[in-house]
Amino acid sequence: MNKNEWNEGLNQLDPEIVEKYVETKENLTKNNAKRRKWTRIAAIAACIAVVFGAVDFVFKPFVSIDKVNFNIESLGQANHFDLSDVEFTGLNFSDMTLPDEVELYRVSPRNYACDGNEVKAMADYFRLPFEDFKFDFVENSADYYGTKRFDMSFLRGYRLIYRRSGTSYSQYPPVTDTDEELVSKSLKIIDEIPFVENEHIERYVQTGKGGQSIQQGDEEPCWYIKNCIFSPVINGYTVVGNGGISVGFARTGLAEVSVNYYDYEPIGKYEIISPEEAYEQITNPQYVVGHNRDFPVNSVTSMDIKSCELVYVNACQNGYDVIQPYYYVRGTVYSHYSDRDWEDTFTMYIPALKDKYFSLLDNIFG
Amino acid sequence: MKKRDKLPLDDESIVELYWQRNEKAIEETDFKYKKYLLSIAYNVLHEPLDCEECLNDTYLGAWNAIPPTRPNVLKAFLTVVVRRIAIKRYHRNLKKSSVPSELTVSLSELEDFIIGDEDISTDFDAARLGRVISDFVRSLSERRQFIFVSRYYASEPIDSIASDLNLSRSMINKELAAIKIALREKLESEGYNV
Repeated sequence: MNKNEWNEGLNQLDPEIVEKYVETKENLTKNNAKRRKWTRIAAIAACIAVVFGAVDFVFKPFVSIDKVNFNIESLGQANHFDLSDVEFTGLNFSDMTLPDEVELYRVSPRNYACDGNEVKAMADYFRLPFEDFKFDFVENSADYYGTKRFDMSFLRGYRLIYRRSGTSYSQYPPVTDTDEELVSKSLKIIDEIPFVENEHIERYVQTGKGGQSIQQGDEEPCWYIKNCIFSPVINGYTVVGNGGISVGFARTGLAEVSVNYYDYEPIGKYEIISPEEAYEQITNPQYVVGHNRDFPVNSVTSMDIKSCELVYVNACQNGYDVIQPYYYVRGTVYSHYSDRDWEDTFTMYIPALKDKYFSLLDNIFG
Repeated sequence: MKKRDKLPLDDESIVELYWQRNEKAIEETDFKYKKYLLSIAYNVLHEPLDCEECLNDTYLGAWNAIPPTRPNVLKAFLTVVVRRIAIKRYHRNLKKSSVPSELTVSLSELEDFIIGDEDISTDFDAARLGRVISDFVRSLSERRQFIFVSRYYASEPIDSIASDLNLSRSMINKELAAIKIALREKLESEGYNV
């Protein structure tokens, strides 16, 4: 085995091992910082102890490698929002009609991302100009075509890219097609892609700039790549989070396709909280995710709820690979700070499962 | 009211920005992880300009991958991306001249059974080797897992690993020697020519 091969093998190291390493390293860094602080305090304390004749002073370093377990509710991290004295306007969920219980699903683990036949079929479909499929980028003289096999956790999927080599997004001519035209084109492509079940719906069309143009911070909304993002639907509810299809268009045509999906199976029906109960929880800042860093979160005056729907969330947590229901709330948040009015969009995920089921999940997955 | 200091966003919010295709995602990633990612790239390449380019490619890679990916641990996800990009550049640079990086040193430690800088052979299956190495890592104790990944994946200097674990440099060397013997046995048992 040569060094090149060894490094390529290491590149395929199980991502969970890398995650564990990163978390362990962070814990050690924190503990060592604590230890250094305590070392200083202990040194002073030891001096005092010696002065006063105490001899039984033992200092033990803080060395531990802790496993970090993800909490099932950790989708929304604390954003330091202060929502204690906020006026809520807009929807109050009272007109939502939902069943008392919904099916819960678990994601079936796979030992591989996708098999050779699946990848080969994708390559054939896109007429990729190479026969020996390496699951990696293949560079040509001017362009590069590539496919990337996802190997993260249980997900299986592909990423297919066609892009001019050495160019950034901003070097493409801007995309002029309307969102509707691109969605229509995307759906046509998705229908033809082998191995993709017809379970995806239009969720939203995203527009994005990439590469250098981001760093240059253009003001004009000039889109060099537009991505149409499609999410799976299970049991009539959209799945937010992992999985889905993204079709990206440049002015030159199809630029990239990502397919990322998974196997899942039902594990039973579970009661959910009512819309009224969910509405009572909207003051919990833990459930708010995604806002601009500059937004003054401590001076929120009101939140205008524009939409709320029950969705499944595939949060891909290590502890429990479940697809579980959440109330998915979106709207506008207002703040007043430094003699200025602020406005931003917010997204909130309120867990819909009743609390009592979280301990049951321990038994299911334990 | 006191003006808020510039604090890094939590990872969930950064990932959400990627999902919203909000350009601030890259800005926030850069603000939070630039130093860390540069250190990984530097361990591999030992060349600041190359490291900067790796960093830009890493951000572009993240932008392209999220969505549809929603990483469990953003930092680990970025680690994987930056390492892959840096390694590719490392082997390209190696064709021109030697690279005096920590990766070169860590590879030289394995020269008993991992030799030469030739291109990858046509029948080489990286995914299989990845599984073998992953199985091997899982079979190690927690401490040795950390040492293995630090030294051979992240190319961390031995002094840095010793400092992380509050162990002496000689203790880390002993651990690495034991890991090396076990690794060689594992690779041989899996049919690799070492």
